[in-house]
Amino acid sequence: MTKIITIDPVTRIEGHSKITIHLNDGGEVEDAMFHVTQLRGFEKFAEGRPFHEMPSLMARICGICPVSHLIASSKACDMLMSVRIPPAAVKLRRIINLAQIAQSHALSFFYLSSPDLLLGMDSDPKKRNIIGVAKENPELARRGIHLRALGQEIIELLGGKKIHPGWVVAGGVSHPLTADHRDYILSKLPEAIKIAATTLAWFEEQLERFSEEISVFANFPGLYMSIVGANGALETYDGPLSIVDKGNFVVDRLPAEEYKSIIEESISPHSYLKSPYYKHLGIVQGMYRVGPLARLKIATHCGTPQADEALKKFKKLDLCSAFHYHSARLIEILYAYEMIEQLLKSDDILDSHVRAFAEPNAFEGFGVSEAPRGTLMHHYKIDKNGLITYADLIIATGHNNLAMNRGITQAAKHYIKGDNLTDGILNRVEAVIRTFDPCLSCSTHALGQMALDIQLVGPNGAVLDRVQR
Amino acid sequence: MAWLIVGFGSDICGDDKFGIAVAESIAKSDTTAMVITTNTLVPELVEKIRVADGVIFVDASLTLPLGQVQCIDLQNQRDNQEPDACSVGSSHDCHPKTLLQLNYILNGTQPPSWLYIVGGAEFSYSEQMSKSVEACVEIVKEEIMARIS
Repeated sequence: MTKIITIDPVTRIEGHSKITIHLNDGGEVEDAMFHVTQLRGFEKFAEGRPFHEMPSLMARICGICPVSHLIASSKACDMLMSVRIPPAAVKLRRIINLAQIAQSHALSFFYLSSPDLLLGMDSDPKKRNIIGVAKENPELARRGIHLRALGQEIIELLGGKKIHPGWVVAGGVSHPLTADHRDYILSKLPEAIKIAATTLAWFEEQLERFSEEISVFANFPGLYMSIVGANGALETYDGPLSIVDKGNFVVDRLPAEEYKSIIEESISPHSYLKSPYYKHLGIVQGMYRVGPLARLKIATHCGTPQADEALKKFKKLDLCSAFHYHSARLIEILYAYEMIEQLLKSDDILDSHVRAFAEPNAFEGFGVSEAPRGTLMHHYKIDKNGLITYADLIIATGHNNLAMNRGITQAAKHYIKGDNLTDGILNRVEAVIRTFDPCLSCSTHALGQMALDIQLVGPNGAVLDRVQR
Repeated sequence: MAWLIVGFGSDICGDDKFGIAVAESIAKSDTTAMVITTNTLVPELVEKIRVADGVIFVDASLTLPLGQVQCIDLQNQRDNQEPDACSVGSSHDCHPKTLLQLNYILNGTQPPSWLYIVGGAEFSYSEQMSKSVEACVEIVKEEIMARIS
């Protein structure tokens, strides 16, 4: 008789979900599914609203990465107005997006995943949290707090507040950077860069302990997608889309607004999270990953000194494994703070001209950026009065949905043998999801609460066992 | 004495705005206290707690009767070995006790701390608090001002 194991809720992720693991008559894992059980539907809420409200409205999708939505949404509005925004505004938008990436990656690595990485996958679940980390390795906890706090502080200094800043607007940003704020941020960056580099060096030494997890945490060939910068550089604000497989470009520098020519979205009955795929290869072969692992796999270089050195080492890892999302996040924190430093030293960074004004001049607008978790797309259509008639959002976590499902199936097949379930095994299945750092509030545009549920389901569909936290 | 006042909650979820309303009211008064408003308590706040001589948290409660005010002395609760359950699931949405415990582990300081809560009734989408909860804003503010003066 088939059994189903249910993990409900999935813990230490952004949002509410559960995992079901289906066993066959022989007690072996047949399939595993990641269910996203929340829905809000921002794409419908947006209809009928004036287009210039979109950045602020869409930022409300998420309290962790509102800046990412601000950026993609504002860029879509730039296109609706058909304006080219001032150069200083581009740099300021880049800075706030990088600060967002740094703080979100710090949250993912230090607060959500480091309990597993430091204390071990089999450690007491009551101690697998930030308090447990602080007791075991106070310096690591301090580093995480410092790196996240600085990212949040930069967002607040630029945008006025840490969560849902309204500073990024259609046409640019609402006000320029002051010299005081520039100098203050510059004074904080050297320490953050040092901390990020130190943590990366520490984590590189830990990888050997996780060789088994590396081998089965979503470790399979597939496609990777991100936007790319000039000369193949790591890019987080703007650029064409590329998709690579093992080492070749499947899609090479496609204008991002043409995304529908390569991406199809499927819907599954077990989840509110849609499953995009590369449509020319179909839903099975067309599965792709986005986010820091994909960005660093595609990028030839970062464009900052220490991140470039780190990237060279990173390229030598087995990059088919989702476990290496963790290393990629640390490299991107390092890159983000180095690149912010470069941008703040630009001659025109204090320029007072930071916004272009215009009425709508096009009926369709598209904006893309790299959010912490991957490529984020906002696509709007408006009527002659500038009111939204259509909104389509493709969110980073959605891009990863097929890979996450396949990843937990691989891990479940490796670790689960018969009915012998332990917390450590279930934690490893959860940990596969955590490597992707999904943001379910974003991807279903839903109000998130942290949770996890694993169910063991029999061949007849009956729930035979269930673990909830 | 360096006081830290932390009002937390959502200002668009009815009575959940209480902590923020009290903190904003204190910020407008004649005080040298550092006043922070935040949606959730995050570990980064230990950097502020580290340099504080005393900490006061203000929040709304789902379980207290509507309009009832309670002041909880957190002084004797910071040595708990297990963090509050809400912190286990997310690690970035903490209870005041968890933050104080984290601060003690990382920084070795133990500032006297209190949590003021008021019972709320409406926590769905609204920018308005219940009249009973709104009436408590000034009461709690005055209690806090008396404590930190």
